[in-house]
Amino acid sequence: MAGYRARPNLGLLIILILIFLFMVMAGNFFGQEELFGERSASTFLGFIGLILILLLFFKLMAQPPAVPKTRIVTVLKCEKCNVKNIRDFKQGDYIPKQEGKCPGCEGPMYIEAIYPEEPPRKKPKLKF
Amino acid sequence: MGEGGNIWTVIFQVAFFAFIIAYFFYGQRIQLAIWNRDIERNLRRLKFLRDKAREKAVKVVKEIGKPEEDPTQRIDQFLETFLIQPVDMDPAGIVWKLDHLLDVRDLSMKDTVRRIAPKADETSLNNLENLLEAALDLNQIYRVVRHYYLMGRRTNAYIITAQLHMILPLIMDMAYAYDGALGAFAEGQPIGDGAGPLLACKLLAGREVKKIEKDMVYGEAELDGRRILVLKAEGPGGNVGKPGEALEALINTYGYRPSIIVMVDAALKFEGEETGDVSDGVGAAIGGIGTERFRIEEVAHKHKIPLYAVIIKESLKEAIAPMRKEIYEGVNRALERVKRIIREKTKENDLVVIAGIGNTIGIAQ
Repeated sequence: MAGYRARPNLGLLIILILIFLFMVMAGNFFGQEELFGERSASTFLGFIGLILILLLFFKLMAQPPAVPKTRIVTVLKCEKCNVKNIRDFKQGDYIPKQEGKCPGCEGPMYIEAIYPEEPPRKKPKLKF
Repeated sequence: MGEGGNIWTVIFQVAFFAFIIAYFFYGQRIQLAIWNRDIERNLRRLKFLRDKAREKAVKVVKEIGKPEEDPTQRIDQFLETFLIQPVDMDPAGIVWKLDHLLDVRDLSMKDTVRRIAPKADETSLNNLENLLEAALDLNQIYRVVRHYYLMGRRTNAYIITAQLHMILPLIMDMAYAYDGALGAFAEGQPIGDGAGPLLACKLLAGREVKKIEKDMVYGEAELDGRRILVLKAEGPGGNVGKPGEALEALINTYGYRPSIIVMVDAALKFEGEETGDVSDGVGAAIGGIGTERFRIEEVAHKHKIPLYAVIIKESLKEAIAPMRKEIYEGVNRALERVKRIIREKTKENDLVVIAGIGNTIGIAQ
């Protein structure tokens, strides 16, 4: 499931481009000693602006990350020896449907759980 | 500073003041335009979710129900159905009126689903009804957001657009939750809201169960020397049943006199809380529009039966998405909590009612 995500703002990108253009123009018209002191300072700022623009551009162009399809698994449990067996969910599975026999003790097995298999998530540490 | 420098300074100063003045007069309009654009983007997303749900409903109805005619038109009509709440100027007796309307709605929905999916069995029928209800909710969300967006634009009512924009993240969260539920409803997988029925199912394992009232079942078990009556909605089809009516029937019609009633339900967690955490308290743990809670409170009050509640915490999204492993673990902890309550609040040979509340999709008895 895709979540609610904020998209990079196109307006912000345009503003940054304008700032970059201003920097380049200011460097040319005012002369380095008037506004920035040295031409290298102006080049440095222009370079930073360019990097920012490129970063935003790539973020804007990037496709949202594909949502990994979660695998729904069915957990079968032996009534006698409690051995568990996990397989993919099949339509018609429900808790506590009896299904098959335990490979170990031949006891009846039933569906104990059906859940999406999720990769372990790193929980953000809360300050409160 | 040279001559060129002076000219540019003047130009930039004029541009700066022009910007300040423009923002002073048109700031609100600029803000409104930004908000409107944001709402539009989310509205497109809502439309996509609504259409996806509709298509999925049509596909599943065709697959399972095997109707002779194309069910699309009937499904479209279903997605526009509504319920008019009873008038509340004189609130006395409103619960029964609302309860009656909900019964009519439920029967009417089941009848419609049966007509559009004539070959579906009872379990699939209940799952299909849940799926169509989720699609109906997504359609309703889309229509309401579009209504306020267009009204805000047409009337230039700043306050409508502002309120809609501010509440939009919550609305989108809800819409994504319904979107996530579609798969579970279509395939009949247990959902987070099924925590209560799952606990009841664990208690009823291997016991005989009897049907009682509308879509409810109950069975007898024993726990630490106490007789317990376990109540849940009839599964494994998507169903919440009418626990209030069933409890009334057990006490008023069948004549059971429990020492306590313990209700187990999934409940919305607060932000920052862990999914699957368990809490207990006092009262009727049941969601919904309130009629079932009213019935349960009435019967408990009339017979002076203490009502205890055990909840398994989860978010709205988790409540209607496939049940997560953390919730299964939470159900096991809730079972221990129920046992502790029974041990502490009752004596041996007492009768206890345990009601597992929630949608029993994917969970039989």
